[in-house]
Amino acid sequence: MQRLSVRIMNPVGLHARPAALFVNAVSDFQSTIRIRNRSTRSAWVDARSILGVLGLGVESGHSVDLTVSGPDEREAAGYLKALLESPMPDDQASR
Amino acid sequence: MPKNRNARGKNGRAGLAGLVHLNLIGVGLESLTAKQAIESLSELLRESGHVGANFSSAVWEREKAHPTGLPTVPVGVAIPHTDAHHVTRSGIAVGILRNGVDFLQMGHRDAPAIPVRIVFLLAIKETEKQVRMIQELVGLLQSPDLLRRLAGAQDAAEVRSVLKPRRPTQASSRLHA
Repeated sequence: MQRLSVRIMNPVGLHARPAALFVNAVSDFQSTIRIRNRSTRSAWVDARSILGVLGLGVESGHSVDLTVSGPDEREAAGYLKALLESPMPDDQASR
Repeated sequence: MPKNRNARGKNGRAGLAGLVHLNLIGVGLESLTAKQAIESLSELLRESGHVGANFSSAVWEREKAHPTGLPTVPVGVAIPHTDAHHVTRSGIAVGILRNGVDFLQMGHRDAPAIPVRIVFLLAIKETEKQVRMIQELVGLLQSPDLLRRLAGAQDAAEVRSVLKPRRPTQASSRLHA
């Protein structure tokens, strides 16, 4: 199992388009991926669930924890870390 | 205690209900497509001076690129929105559709469309507020009972009363009365 923590610097947090991008990316991997909002000490949710991820209320500056377990866990962990750390620049709501 | 209490978040429903005015609620909409539903609700926002003429097409363009259908239970919900610069004054239009209208799913590009009965069209001027609104909405959307009541609402006043926050003090005083 891979564990990682990432600080979200995207100006709108993990909402709307960034959340959709994240869930889309998670769905491309076979591994079981769970996420929680470390900053609010939320419960863990299935990272494939858009409602679950939106409900975490991840705002800019919050940190999230992820667990990734499965055949492609290393690749998934690396990719998702990079995605979450990126500014996700295509987000229109941030303009 | 209903499950949604926790999901509702610390802000309760005050922020959201404050932006849903009676003249922004459409009940029994006959829209046949997602685009029509967005157009009808955009018209309510435009007539009341919340958005400009380009809002509807901007929302639809964004919806095509980044769909907002959510697989909620017992009825699907969509939360279309667009850039803040199309908004003059913040408001949220709510549409209760007579029949399910297909919206593609947020976050699952290859998933089948969801039949949506309830649309929250967000026109939020402040990006920071938009984030909080979406979080608050998602809290609400996790209550099947609330969605059932919204889908079955007969008029705008009923929609508004379902969305209105209930003060915990009133509820508890009623319990102890």
